[in-house]
Amino acid sequence: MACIEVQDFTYTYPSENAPVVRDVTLSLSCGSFSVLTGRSGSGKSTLGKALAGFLFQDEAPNYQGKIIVNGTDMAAIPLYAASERVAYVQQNPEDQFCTLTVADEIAFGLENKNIDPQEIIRRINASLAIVKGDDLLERDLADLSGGEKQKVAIASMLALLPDVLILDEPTSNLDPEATQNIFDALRHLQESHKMTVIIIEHKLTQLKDFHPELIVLENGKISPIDSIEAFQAMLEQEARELPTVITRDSRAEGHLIQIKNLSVHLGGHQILDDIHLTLKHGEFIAIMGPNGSGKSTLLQTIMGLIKPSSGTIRGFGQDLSKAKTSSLVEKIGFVFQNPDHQLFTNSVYDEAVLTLKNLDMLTPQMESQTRLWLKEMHLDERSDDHPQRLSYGEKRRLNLLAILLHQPKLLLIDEFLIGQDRHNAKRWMGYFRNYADQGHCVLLVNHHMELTQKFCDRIIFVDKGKILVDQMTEEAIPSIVERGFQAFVPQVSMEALYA
Amino acid sequence: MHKLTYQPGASFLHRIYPLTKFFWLILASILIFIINNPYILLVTAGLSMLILFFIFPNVWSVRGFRFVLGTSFMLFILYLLFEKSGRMLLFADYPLLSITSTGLQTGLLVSSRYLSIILFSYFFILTTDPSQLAYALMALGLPYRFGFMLVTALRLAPILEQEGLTIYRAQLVRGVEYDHKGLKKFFLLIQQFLTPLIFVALKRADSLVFSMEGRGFGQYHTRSFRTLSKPTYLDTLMNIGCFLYFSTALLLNFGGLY
Repeated sequence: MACIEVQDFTYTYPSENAPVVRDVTLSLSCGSFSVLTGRSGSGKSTLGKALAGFLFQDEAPNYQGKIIVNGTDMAAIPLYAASERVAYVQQNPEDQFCTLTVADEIAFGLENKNIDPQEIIRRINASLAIVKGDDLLERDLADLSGGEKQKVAIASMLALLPDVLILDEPTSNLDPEATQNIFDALRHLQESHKMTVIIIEHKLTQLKDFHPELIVLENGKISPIDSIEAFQAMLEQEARELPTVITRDSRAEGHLIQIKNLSVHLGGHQILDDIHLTLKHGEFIAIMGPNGSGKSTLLQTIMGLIKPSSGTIRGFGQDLSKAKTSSLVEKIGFVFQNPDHQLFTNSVYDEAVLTLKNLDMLTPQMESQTRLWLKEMHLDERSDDHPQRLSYGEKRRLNLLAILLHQPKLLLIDEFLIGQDRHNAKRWMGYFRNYADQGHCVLLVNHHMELTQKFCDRIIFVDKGKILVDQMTEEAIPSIVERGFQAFVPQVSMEALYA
Repeated sequence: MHKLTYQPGASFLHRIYPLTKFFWLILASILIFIINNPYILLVTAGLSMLILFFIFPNVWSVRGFRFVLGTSFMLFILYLLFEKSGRMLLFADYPLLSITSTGLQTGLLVSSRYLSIILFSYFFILTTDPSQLAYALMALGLPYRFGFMLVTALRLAPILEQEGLTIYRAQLVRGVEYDHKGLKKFFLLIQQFLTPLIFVALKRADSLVFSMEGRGFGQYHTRSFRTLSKPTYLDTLMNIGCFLYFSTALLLNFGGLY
């Protein structure tokens, strides 16, 4: 029996001209487990939100076609009624939470529906049990890890007993271990409750065992590809068409940065503990490790944004731990994780040249070079637009361009590949590789082991503020496994390693 | 340094029903203005200080606490030195340093009153979980839409504070210097700081609306509550204690204690 029927559905966002989702027709049976995938910007989240009824709340939503869930037209009912049929777990659980504790958050929807307190308590316990989060009941949301927050977000929706659960990239901000935990919780949900589940996801390898129905979106349309193997084969084919990169042993190159005995305390907690590290010209280095292990803090300390409690960071002929950040900008480029936090001006062009202006380096020659780079990054046609109007991928390109134009010697990049499909991710890794090959150094916080293996010279693995592994890539992978972090090394890498 | 915010604990004051504390915060603040005897106010401030140190031995590390003490002390000194009416008490030969009875009493009155009110607020803020206060107000009849304004504000405030810090740091790594180049440049930087902050705040608010309405917020005029804290015998004890203390203070005040 069909639980979800989508009939010729097309949707255009207000103030946009082209539809994001076009002529989508599909049917999903009750109790099925489906994966909705596709490239970044292909319309996956939009289709997910439409299925949950989110897109029909505007005064005049611009859509054609129908979405029927268990016989109900989702466009014809208010959001609270839609939520009784379809629950939608957002990408970032922080965006979804509206209370301060785990129990309050899961109770929130039930209290809104005037459910009896005894029944609320029963459902809180039951939904936490489904996501294997029984131990979270008494906790404050602010104290949870990323994976735990995602479990609570899912539990808060399950408590409402929806017919359908949609999860929008629930693991995009999680390290591989936390990702595996979420997938285990979903497996438990599928096996024990036979709920209709749709997961929007890029990480397909780990979902193969679910034997899901695959829905691939391409430019807003349903693609005829219907198996994970076929989709991955297509991506592999595209990836092969990108230039092949051979990693180099750059240990012979000169030192750029030397870190000794570095420790950082924040809010009474030790975040980094006795870090020793040398960065050299020409290296492309991946920093890996669990969420909250201190990776971002390490980058920000090198940039002078966080002052160390002890230790030294020597580079460019000075002690960087005592230097003002503004004095390091010419030599070090830094990209933060969230693109929205680093767009300050009123036009794409102004944003691209902001760093050059601040460094008094904006010459006519640099201006024309900026125009060329905007074209190279496919941003030239949007150079007068407000940066916040760009798509996620365009914002990422602009973030990078804004710190690259003056060619800093060291690039510090925090989680750049989040939300990028495999094709785009590989393209970015190629850019970073080329930049390092020009004699610069690139330090990238990253969870994508396959691409790291292909592109990076070296892996630094951090856990609980300490460097556990600092080795050339091929040597580092078995060392990471030996230390018990198997989840960070996907099977494909291990097979290649031991072949 | 700790922020002046709720500090979890199990002290007597932590276990008092939020509305009881809120009621006594308001009433005690009014009574402190009615009482005009400096010695009663001094005892009140001293007792409050003792209780505060008993509950939070590390209250010195709460941001702003030393400033409050300093301000109170400065108020006392200023009145002591500049209020010259009344009976001469000390240094009659040195007009600039001379201290009078009115100077002493007014100094004690103003600084003790100021300190008492601030310390009452510290009791309330440090021992009351704000979300519990919101839930208690909703249980008392405050429409839950308004109650959740407080709860969601409490939820979002630290997140936006963290995002503000990230945006500030993101500006620094782009070569921004806040301490240079004049007022016009400074306002431009503020605008460049607020643009992304407002954008991310609105984006969050948008997601939150979907999250809340998507779980039935606003569907009914009333809502049930999983658990609600209720007044206990401790509240009765506190009510009796506060009533006795302030009744005695008022009697002494209007009975004339000099």
